[in-house]
Amino acid sequence: MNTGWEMALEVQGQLLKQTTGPHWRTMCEHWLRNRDAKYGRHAMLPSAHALDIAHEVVAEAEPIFVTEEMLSLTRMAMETFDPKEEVHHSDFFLPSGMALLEKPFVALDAEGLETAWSAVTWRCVELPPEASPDLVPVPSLEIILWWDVSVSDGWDEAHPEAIEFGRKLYSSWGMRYAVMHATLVPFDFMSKPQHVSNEGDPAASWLTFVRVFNKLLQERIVLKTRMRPHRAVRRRVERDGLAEVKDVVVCELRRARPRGYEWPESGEAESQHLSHRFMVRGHWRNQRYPSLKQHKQKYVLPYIKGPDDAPFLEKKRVWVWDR
Amino acid sequence: MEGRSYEGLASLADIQVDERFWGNGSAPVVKEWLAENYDPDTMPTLQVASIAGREGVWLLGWNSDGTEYEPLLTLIFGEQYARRQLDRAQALAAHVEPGVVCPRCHVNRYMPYVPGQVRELDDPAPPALSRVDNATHICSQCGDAEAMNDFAGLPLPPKEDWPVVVPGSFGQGRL
Repeated sequence: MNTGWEMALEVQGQLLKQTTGPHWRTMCEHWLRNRDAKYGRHAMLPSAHALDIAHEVVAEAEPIFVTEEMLSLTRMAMETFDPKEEVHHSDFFLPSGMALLEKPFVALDAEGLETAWSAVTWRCVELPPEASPDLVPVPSLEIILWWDVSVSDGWDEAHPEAIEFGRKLYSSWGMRYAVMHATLVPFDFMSKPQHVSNEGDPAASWLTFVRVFNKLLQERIVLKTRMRPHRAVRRRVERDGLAEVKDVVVCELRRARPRGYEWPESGEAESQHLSHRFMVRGHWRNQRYPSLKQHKQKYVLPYIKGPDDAPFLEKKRVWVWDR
Repeated sequence: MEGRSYEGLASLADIQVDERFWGNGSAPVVKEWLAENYDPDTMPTLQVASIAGREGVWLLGWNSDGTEYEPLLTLIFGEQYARRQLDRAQALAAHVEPGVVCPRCHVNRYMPYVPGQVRELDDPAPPALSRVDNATHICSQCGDAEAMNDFAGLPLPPKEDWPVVVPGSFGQGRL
């Protein structure tokens, strides 16, 4: 039995098998025809590009396993993140990655139904100058969201026939992971909500997730451990076609600080007057980066403030700090 | 794709012609020319190659260096055609699509007007003239969109707002 993080490598192997398999083209044709009919050529073309090079992106991605706790932190950070911030290459801690989530990411579609996806692959690229009227390279992100067809979500109850049909279709193609979304989005458009929002996820939380997740990976609050998979797992994914088996990056919250720890900048004088402990909500600080000549959002982790012996007062937000 | 002499690899009749390189409709012409004119004793040796994912050996041309013969493509189709085909083949090798990206939508391409140049069947359509400044070439689809806007009395997006991207283009749909 594989550990959770070894599953990331297994899923990467499975995705590679799918994207190089005999039914991938057929699946893409169906998928793109549907997108073209519903949302037009402008929406279909970026998807066509992303699906066309999906096997490359999967093959070179860093496999990442995202624990449930890390997912919760990311979701919390997403609530206050400003998606209109400009996007730069430096925002991506991993320019190419495949994140398997311990628990599916749930978003609400335009009908208010929960949709769940379990993995995401992305790669930062520069479109060649020929692709731009200004003849300059265009920094962009290729991204695919993968729905594990064995996972149920709001659609099972609301549209049982459509979901059943989809499951049967993917099963006949031997695919466990269906494409929930695929696109190639230039950085310039990533900060424009009207372009990244659509019926499947009007809040465009899929993109905010990838942005925030990468930002959090840059922070010291996140522990990134490279784990070497068991030999049997490595050999199995090699058989699936993965030329280079990489170590899996396991992302967890760093636990170095003891309970009740106060960050130095909180100031002693202030804490002496606190009559209780309380949660300081995680928030984004608009930090100046002089070397980059930019302001970028930097996440400040939620923490517990107040003297250790004071009673804990629970405010609106709850964050499980202890294990 | 590396060229090799066809001798010992295939008979003249078995050599295949890749129309992506030689041009649309060129295969029967090239094959007929070889059958009627090619003399292996006096003419340069044909160069062939295999193509990944496709069976057979495929004609690249012949090794005319140091001989009195022109390249095979030029000899059969003429210099202008040959130059154009070589440009297209290079573009294909570099995965560059023919045409120019439309400055209004950044999605579609158009084939610029070049005097004397003949459009290929698979080339993008010629450009339309934008109604915004009556000077900029845009793709045919954007030309249609501007005409419809104009007809409906709606304002045209100014050039400062280009590229005009349909909202939701990169968003997750309900499929």
